[in-house]
Amino acid sequence: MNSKATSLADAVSLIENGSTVAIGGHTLRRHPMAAVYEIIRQGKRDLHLIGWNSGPDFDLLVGAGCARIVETSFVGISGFGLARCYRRAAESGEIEVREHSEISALDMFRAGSIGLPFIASSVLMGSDVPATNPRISTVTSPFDGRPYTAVQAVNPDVAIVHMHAADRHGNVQLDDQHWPDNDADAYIGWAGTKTIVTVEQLVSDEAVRARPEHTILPRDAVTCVVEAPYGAYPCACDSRYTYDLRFIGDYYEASGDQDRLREFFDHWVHGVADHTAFLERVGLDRLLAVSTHRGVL
Amino acid sequence: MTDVTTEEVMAVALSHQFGEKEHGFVGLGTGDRAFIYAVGIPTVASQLAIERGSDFSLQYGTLFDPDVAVIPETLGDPDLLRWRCAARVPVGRCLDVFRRGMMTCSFISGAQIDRFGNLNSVRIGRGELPDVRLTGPIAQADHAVFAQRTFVILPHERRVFVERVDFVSAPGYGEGRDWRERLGLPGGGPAKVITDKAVLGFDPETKGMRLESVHPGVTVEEVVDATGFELMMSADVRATELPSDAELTAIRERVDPSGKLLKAPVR
Amino acid sequence: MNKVVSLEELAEVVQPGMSVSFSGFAHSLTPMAFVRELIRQGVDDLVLVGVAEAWAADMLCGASALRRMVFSNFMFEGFGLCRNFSRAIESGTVEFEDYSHFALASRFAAAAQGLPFTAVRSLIASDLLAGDGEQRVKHHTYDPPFGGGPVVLLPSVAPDVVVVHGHRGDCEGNVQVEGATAVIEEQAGAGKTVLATVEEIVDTSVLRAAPHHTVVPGMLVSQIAEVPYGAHPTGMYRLYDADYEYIREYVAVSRDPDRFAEHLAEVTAVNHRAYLQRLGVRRLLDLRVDPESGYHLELTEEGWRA
Repeated sequence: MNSKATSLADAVSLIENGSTVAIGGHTLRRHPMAAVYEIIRQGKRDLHLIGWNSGPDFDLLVGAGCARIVETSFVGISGFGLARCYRRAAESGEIEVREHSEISALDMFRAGSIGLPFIASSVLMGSDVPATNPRISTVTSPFDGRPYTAVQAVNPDVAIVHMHAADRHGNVQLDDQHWPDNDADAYIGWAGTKTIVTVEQLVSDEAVRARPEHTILPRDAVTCVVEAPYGAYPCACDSRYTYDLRFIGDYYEASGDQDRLREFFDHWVHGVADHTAFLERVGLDRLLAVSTHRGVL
Repeated sequence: MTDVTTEEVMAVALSHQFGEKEHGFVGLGTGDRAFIYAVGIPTVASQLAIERGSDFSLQYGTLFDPDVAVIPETLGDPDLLRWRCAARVPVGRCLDVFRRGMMTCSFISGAQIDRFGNLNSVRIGRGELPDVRLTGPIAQADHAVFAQRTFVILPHERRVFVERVDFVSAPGYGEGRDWRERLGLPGGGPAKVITDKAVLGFDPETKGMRLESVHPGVTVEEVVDATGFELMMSADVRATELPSDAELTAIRERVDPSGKLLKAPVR
Repeated sequence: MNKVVSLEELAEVVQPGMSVSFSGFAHSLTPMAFVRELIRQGVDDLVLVGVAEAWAADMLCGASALRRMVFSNFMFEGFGLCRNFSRAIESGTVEFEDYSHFALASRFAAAAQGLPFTAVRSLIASDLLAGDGEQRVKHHTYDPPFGGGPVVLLPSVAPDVVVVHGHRGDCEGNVQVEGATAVIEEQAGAGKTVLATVEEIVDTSVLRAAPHHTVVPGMLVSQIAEVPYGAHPTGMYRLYDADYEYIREYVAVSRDPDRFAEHLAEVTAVNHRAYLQRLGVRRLLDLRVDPESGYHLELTEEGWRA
C-alpha cells in the first residue's frame, strides 16, 4: 500500500482557486487551523467555504481575502463576539452568505457522505433561510402531497478535517475522549471529493490495528494525511489541549482594524515558513499551558 | 425577601411551565449574559422541576442527563469531556431528537423578536446588504420548527422587541393565527417569552405576543416602553410570582450554590 | 489536600549530607529535571543509592555533589561507560559500595516491607563481599538453622529522600507510570521522604479511571511537582523517546572533564523551562513515540519490516 502521508504544503496545493472547500470543526473546537494558515500562505482565492459551526477558521480566511461564498449555520468567535472580518465582508457584499440551520448543514454533509441526492424534511420551513441558499429547495411529497424542505447533498471539491492520529495509509483515528460532534467531521470527510486530514500524530499500522474501533475515517475516505501536532491551535483538540483564549482574544482585537489584521497575518502566517515554525513562534510555554493531556488516551 | 435576583425570578417562572415529563435541550453557550440566559436559567428551572417530582430528561447538546449537581469548574471543552452523564450520543442523533418530535421544550434567543415570536439571529437591516451581519441561524431555526414548545429568553429592550424582524431565522407564529398549521410546521411554537422585566405569552387566537406578568420592581409602563411594537395585555396582568422560600433555598443551597449558573458565568 | 509545589521548592527538600535515590533505569524514567535543579542549587555531600540510574549518577559525579555511592551498575547502555562516575571512583574522591542488582533491590524491598534485614544467596563467593577498609560492604554471611548453605544478610536501606518521575499524578501525590518501572515501587516504599515529579498533574478522577497505572500511591508521597519532559534526556514510555542526539553529545563531551564542566554549567545555569526552550519545540515534538511500540515511528516501521 502506498503512503498517503504528505506535507501540509503539498496537501493544500490540491485546492484550486474558485473551488468548494469544506472545513470541519465546531465553534472553537478542532478546526484544522494549520491547514487554514497554509491556505492563506498559498494565497488561495474565490473559495466557496462550507462548514456547519464555524469560527476563527472562516473568519481568518475571509479576513485574508480567500473567500467569495460562505455557507454555514454559524460564524462567531465564541466568548468574544461576532466574527469581525466575516461581518465586515458580509455587510460590504465582499462575500455572499448562504444560510443554514445546524440540521440542514449536517444534512448536506450527511447526504453527501452516503450518496443521497438530498434529504427532505420539515427543516427550515417558515424561515427566510431557504431563499438565501440554492442548495435548499422545496419538494412535494408524492406520498402525502405535502411540501417539505429539500437540502441537497454537498460533495465539496476538497474537505479538510483535523483528527488525532492516523497511519501512513490514511486510516484516521480519534482518542477515547473526544467530542461527539466530531462525527460531523466524519460526514464531512466522507463527503469530500478529495479529503485532507491533518492529525496530531502519525502512528504505526499496529497502533491503528490495536484499536480499530477508534478509526473514524478509513483510508478509503482519505486522500492524504498530514502530521500537524497542535494542528487545531488556538482552537481546542478534545482532551489533548484546550483553547488558547489569549491568542484568540488577540486575533479578535486585531480583526477589528485592517492594519492590525495585516500585522497579525504577517506575524503568524506569512512570517513563518511552515507549521513547525509557527509552533516555534507560538513557543513552548503557550503550547504546554494549553496541553491538558499529552499522552495517548 | 428583598435580595431575590432577577435571574432567580426568571428561572422560577420558567420552572413553573414544566410538566410531569419533559425532554429538554440546552445548547452549551458562550460566556456572560448569553450563558446565563441560554444555559443557567434553563438548568436551574429544570432542576427545580426535578425536585418537584418531574421526570425531566435533559440534553446538553450531545450529553444526555449530565450530573448537574457537579458542574465542571469551567465549561471549557476538556472539562466538559469528563462531565459525568448518562450518554454522549453522536451529533446526528443529538439533533434528530428535534426532527423526531421528541423535544418537549427548548430554550432559544435571538437579536430580534417580533410580536408573533419570530426570531432573528442573521442580520439587522432589510436592504440588499445587511446593516449588521450576525452569527447566523445556528440551531435556533431547528428548535423553532420542531420543538413541541420553545421558551424564548431575552433581554427586554426596544431594539430587541421589534414590529417585524428583519430576517426570520427561527419562525414563531409567522404572520399570526393558523400560520404554523397552514405551513405544516410540526412543532408547537413559542410558549412563553421570559425577559429580565416580564413574562409574556401569545394570544391563543391571534398569536400576538401579550404581557402576562411584570417582575417585582418593574412597572407595566417600563415594559411597554421597552417594547418596539404595540404590546397586547392579557386579561389579568399581574406581578410575576416571587420564588417561594423553598425554591430560593433549593437554588441557593442545592442547585446553584456557587452561582455558576445564575451569577458568575464560567468561561 | 494539595501536595503540589514548584520544582524549585521540591529540590529544596534535599539537604547536604542526605542519602538520595532516583527512579529509572538506564535511559528511562529518571527525574533529570530534578537532578539538574539539585545541581543548580549547589547541594552536595550526598550519598547516592541506586540500582542503575546512570544519568543521575554520572551527572552528580560530574558536579562533585556526591560523597558516597551505594549501587549496582551505572553505564550508558548502547553508548559506553559513565565517564564522570568512573573518574570519581578511580580518583578516590567518592566512596562506594558495590552490589548486584538483586542484592540492592532486596535492600530497598526490605525497607519497604519494614524488615530489619534480608537474606539473599547473591554475592556468595563474590569479590563484592571482600571489602577494603571503608569500602567494605556491610553484610553478614550466615548459616541458617534450616541448613541449605550460607546466605548473605543485608540490612534494609532507607534513603532520606527518594525522587520518582511519572507520567501523571494528582494533587494527592498519586503517581502513575506506564511501561517498565524498574524498582520504583521498592524505592518509594523505602524512602523516608518520597518526592514526585510528573509529566502532568491531572484531576484525581482521571487516575481513578485507570487505577492499575498508579504505582506510587499518594499516601507515600510528601510533595509533587508538574514537570513536563522532566525525564529528558531519558525517555518516558509511550510519551517521548530518550534523546539520542543529546546522549551522543553528552558521552562525547564527558570524555574531557573541562568540556564536561562547560556543558554541565550550561545545562544547570537555567531553570527547566529555559532548558526545554533551548532544546526547542521542533526537537521536543520529534521525540514523540508511537503509542503502540513506544519507539519513534521510523524505528518502529524499520523494526517491523525487518
